[in-house]
Amino acid sequence: MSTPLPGIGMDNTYSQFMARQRIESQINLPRLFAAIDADPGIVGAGVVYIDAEFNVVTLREFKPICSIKPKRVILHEAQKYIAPAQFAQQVQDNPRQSRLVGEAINTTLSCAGAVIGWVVVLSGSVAIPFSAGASTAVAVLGYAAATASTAQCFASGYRLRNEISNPARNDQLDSEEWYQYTMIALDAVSLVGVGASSLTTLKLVRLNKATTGKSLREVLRGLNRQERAKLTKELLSINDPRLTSKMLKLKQLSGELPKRFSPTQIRHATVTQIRDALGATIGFAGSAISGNVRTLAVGLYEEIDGE
Amino acid sequence: MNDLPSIRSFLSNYFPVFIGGIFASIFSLALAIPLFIDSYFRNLPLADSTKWSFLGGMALTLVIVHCNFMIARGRPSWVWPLVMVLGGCFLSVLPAIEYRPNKLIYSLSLLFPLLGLLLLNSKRHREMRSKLVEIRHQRESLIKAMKNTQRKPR
Repeated sequence: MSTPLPGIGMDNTYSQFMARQRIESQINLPRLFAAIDADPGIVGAGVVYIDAEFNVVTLREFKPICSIKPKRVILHEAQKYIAPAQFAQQVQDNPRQSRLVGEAINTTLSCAGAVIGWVVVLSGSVAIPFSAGASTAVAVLGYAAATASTAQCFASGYRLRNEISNPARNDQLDSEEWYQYTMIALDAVSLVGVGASSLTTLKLVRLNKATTGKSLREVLRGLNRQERAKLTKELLSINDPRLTSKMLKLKQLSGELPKRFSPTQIRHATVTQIRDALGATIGFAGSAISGNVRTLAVGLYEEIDGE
Repeated sequence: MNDLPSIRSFLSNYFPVFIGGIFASIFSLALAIPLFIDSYFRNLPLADSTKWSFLGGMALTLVIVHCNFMIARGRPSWVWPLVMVLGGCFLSVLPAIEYRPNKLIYSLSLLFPLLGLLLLNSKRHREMRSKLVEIRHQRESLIKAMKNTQRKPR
């Protein structure tokens, strides 16, 4: 009752006990946990809720499934005296850093893809004297691939630039349907051009990638076919097949893979799912109780030992 | 004419400058267009400015791709639209300093068009263009020869 610094997960005080009661009645916990467990990168992550009065409530303990090091998803309710906009700014600053890195990696990859496309074009053109017909076909095929992959290179460069100076624009872009379809179409074209397999495989890998935050090689190595199918099914059941603009197959082709694409980086998609799980209940329940919609922040924290 | 370059040596000689030109143009578009729209169309809502900057950039990307493809096919006069796009990027970004843009973005969006122009103007790139013209002539004569042999009844 009188501990000055409440330890995580212990309902020491009356207010913590009340907070737990309140949260458990407001949030659809199974759905929240399902959203978290759908992401192989953070399966079994602990869930901690910090409410506006700084009551720390552990909704679920960490289970060492995804990693040995404890990972926790922390849901942080805004303090009452902070304006939502200010709170959002405060919270956004941290994950944005890692998103910047993500965009930079993505740009590198798509541009590596463009390099491949242009190699095909140029070598197809140079090889003409030996085999006029066939290499013209190669060059034309390469044209499609180079167009698509260069366009993707532009798109990711554009996103990287936005992430530096105007991140809101990327969120806007992600929310646009035409953008997602454009990127899928570009992927399809560059795939056909480079001569890889069908669109369905791409979609599957893409979904995997979007939710796991793993690099392609990790995804392909870490999951077998059944697992992938299962993951896809799971994802579809959560109904958020969020397709980000990643150039997956080209990673594989170029062999130039990011060494340190931390799987603990919570993907935008997963955050969205968690928000969805929370949103419906918290938003309305919160507004009913306190008169305004409660602001929540979602973050993933991993304990890192200094290596 | 008589020294046919092997593909590998051709690529190792000229590919870096070729792809460098492409990347410089792509990045100058990616940097300059949003800056352009942010600076001169300040009242545009976010959704619209995002859409137009993205689509505009895409359209110009296609132009760049096509120009480079034509250069690769041995038509060096297609370098001029590239020069125009790069010059346009540079000139349209230059006055944006009035609106106090992000320093990094601003300097990069001036740097990339200049880099692109430098690469296009480089000796290597010129050499590559003339080589590609040669290869085109060879190709055309080859195709003509093949057509002639096909037409002749045996």
